[in-house]
Amino acid sequence: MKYWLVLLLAFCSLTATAKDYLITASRPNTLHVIDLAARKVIHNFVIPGPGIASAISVVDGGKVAYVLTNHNESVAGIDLDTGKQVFRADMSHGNVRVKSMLALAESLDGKLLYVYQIPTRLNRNDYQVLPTRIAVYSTAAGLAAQPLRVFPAPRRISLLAPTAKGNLIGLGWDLYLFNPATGAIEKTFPLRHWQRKGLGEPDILDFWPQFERAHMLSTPYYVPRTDVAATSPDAEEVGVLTFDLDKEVMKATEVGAADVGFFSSVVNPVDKNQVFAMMNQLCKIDLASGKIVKRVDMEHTHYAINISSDGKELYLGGTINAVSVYDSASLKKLAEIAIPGGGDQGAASLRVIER
Amino acid sequence: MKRLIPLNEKARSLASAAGPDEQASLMSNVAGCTTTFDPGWEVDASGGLSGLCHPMEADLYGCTDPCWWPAQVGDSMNTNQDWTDGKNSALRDWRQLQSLFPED
Amino acid sequence: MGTLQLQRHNYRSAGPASRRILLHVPTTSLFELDRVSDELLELFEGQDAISADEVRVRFDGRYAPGEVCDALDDLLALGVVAPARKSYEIAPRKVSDAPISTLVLTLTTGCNLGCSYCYRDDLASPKAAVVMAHETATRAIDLLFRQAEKLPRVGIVFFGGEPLTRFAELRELTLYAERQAGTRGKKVDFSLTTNATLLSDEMIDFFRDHDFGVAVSIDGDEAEHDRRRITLGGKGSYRIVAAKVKRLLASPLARPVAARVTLSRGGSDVARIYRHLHDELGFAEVGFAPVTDDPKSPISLDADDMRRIVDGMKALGRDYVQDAKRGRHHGFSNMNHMMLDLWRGTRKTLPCGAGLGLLAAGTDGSLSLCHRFTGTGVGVFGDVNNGIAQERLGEFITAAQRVNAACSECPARGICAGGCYHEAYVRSGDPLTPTFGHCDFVREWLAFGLDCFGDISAANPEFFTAKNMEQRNQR
Repeated sequence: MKYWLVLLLAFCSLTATAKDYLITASRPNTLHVIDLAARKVIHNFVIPGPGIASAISVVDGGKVAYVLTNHNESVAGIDLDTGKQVFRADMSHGNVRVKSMLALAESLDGKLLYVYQIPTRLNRNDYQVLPTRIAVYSTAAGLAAQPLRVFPAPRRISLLAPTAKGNLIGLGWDLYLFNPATGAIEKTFPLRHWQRKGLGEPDILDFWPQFERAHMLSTPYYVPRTDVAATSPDAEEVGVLTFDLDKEVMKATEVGAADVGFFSSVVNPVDKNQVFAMMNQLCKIDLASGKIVKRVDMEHTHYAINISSDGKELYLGGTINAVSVYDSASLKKLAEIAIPGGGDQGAASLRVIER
Repeated sequence: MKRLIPLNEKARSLASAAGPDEQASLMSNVAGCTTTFDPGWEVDASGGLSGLCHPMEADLYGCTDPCWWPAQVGDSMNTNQDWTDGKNSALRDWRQLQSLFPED
Repeated sequence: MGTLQLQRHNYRSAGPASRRILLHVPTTSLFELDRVSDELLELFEGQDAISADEVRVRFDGRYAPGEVCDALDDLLALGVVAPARKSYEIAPRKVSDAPISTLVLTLTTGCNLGCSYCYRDDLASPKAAVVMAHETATRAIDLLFRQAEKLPRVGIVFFGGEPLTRFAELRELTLYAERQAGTRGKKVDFSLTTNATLLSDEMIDFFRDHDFGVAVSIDGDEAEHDRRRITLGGKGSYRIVAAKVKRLLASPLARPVAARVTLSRGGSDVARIYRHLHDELGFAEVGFAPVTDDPKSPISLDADDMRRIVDGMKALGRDYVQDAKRGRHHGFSNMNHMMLDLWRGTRKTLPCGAGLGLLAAGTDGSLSLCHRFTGTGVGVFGDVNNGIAQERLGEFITAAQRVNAACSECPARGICAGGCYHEAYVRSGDPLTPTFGHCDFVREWLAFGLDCFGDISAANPEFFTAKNMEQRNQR
């Protein structure tokens, strides 16, 4: 009995001390760790080698962030406490140049790292386009990491996310559900190939992984209506696509005429019908009613958005040199956390983890 | 080479160099590497500016790094990897970004 | 209906009619023509423009249309024929950073000989010599190692004057460079060009122990050698050189010892010189170079001399071919280099490595394009204290790649690339003006080389294997 109590206490203290941290990156090739409660940048770690830091994968409780760098040709694993590089996968070799267009993700237990790779053989006279693939690395592979295995994957994948069932979802022309153990595509959720009455092909560009708090992958999309004249103001609609990473279910919801531009979106972990999306305006979207319920102008453009574990705060990053904090209920700006050195975040990921 | 017989090392490498593919394939994604030539940096879809990023400098490196609009901004992913070196803030340092000209 | 025209500037053919080989000038690729492609090329060679009908009429019933089309495809692919003038110009590449891997150290301007054809402006007697300070030399070596940070091997060449007048210093510097290389995990290749008069057994042992590549300047037998290679007092140096060479060659060094022959006005036959140096004295390799001098000088080569020299080199080259056909080694360096270049398909945009991988430090520590420029005040690009003047050197190397209009039709342009900067400087005052006086001979030598290449590859294809060629390259 006494042991149980100790264990329970230990457990309580553990959950009580778990805090939200924001992980992002800026120029020059620097990874930042931000204590969100304190509104403070606590670490600035310079990543070895050339290029800038862009896509980031990190899991709850994780010790290491995996960052795409070296002009999209290498993944560096950076220890979040010491800043030491503990993992490095340089993907290009010989005359084969291998880039990743920002799609990388860990398994939920942080043991495996999946990287979508675009190889091109640079011959003397010509470039030979090689098949795209997903490489699976052990995160314990160290500084000269080689993939455990690779499997083919369709072109154009720009986002990867692990599901609770151990699968991997990739956003490309369609949504592909991979079994990363076998490399098989278990299921394809049609997007470009969807057949929806009155709607054409959706237009999606998203490489911001912002699914970790709600376990929901989400992205804005734009879709032409085929049942109204092309010149009509209603001819293009904006919508939000969600993929439930626990249940492996996709849903597409149009939320109105495309009078607003969105780069990326995030789902509220507390109310999964509530989605926040932004570019020049920050919008609150209700998926149940299919409406934009609130919108505010921002001081400048943001590419990336994430949310606190309790759903109360929104964090907006990317583009220039600050992370803005907004209240998710009122959409009022609460604070701004300056990136030390003033370097641009550009297209860097904006991840929120508990640790 | 179909009938000429290579005699030296250079001829062998010339003969084995692949000719142009009969079929053109897209390099990669829509994002990345000279696949996007639509307008976007100058005007938005309606011909105005309100749909563009504000300020425009906020969008510069997000387009440069993934080689998004290679005609309008430098491609720091492949051909001009050092274009932005030392110019870490587009807002602050844009004056130092130089025009690019093809070299070869 | 369009026509196709022969693009003469893009190819040269060589060899007998039964087995023509084709040099693709833009790439230095070599191809053997088969019957169809040979005849097709012949058709184009006979007329200004050829139409599809003319090809059909010529070949109908004799070759399958597919064979003719394939041969035409090949010629089109190489730009040997084209619908309009086709040129493959290699635009000068901007060189902004040219790290060096080989450094020439001018240990002294002093020489104990007074060869009448010496190109050095600043040559002095050993007593009046300006020497390189030890400090300057070690800084130069340090600079080389800094430059070659990413390379596993570097090269140091000891030069002068006569470098053996400063053997004690040469020994110190060798040991210093080896220590520096040791701490960096690199290998140094040492080499030396000497007149051999001061060689001692101690020196020979030292060169053997430290894997020196040694080249000896020697012009032939006594009569030939003593015409120009004389002591400061005016006496011939052959006897002492020959005696020392015998000791040097008595036990083998790691790398074969080469003889470097300078050909000047009124000299004797190349084949005879070769036989003396190779067969009688025992040099493994003998290389010939024409004297560098103002054409008005009494020692410079006139047209008759050049004719005689080229004829002699071709005669010696034919010996080389006979040996190559039987798989035997021949020590004619010029021919070995030519065969190596043709086998690889060397396509030069610069005449040599001067300034691009190689620089020479003068006695005062200034860095010149190569050993021939030290002391001239021309072609200086920085010094050992302040480092290489990368920007100016880059500009020079970039400018040097520009093809002179007169070279654009030349079949030898990919092998010659304008010729020696120093030769050009002496003749015209400008290192970047091609050495036009040599053009006909360069082309003749190339044409001869092509014939030899075809001849050897038909009789003994084994000769042109990577293994054999690389072995030759080691020499």
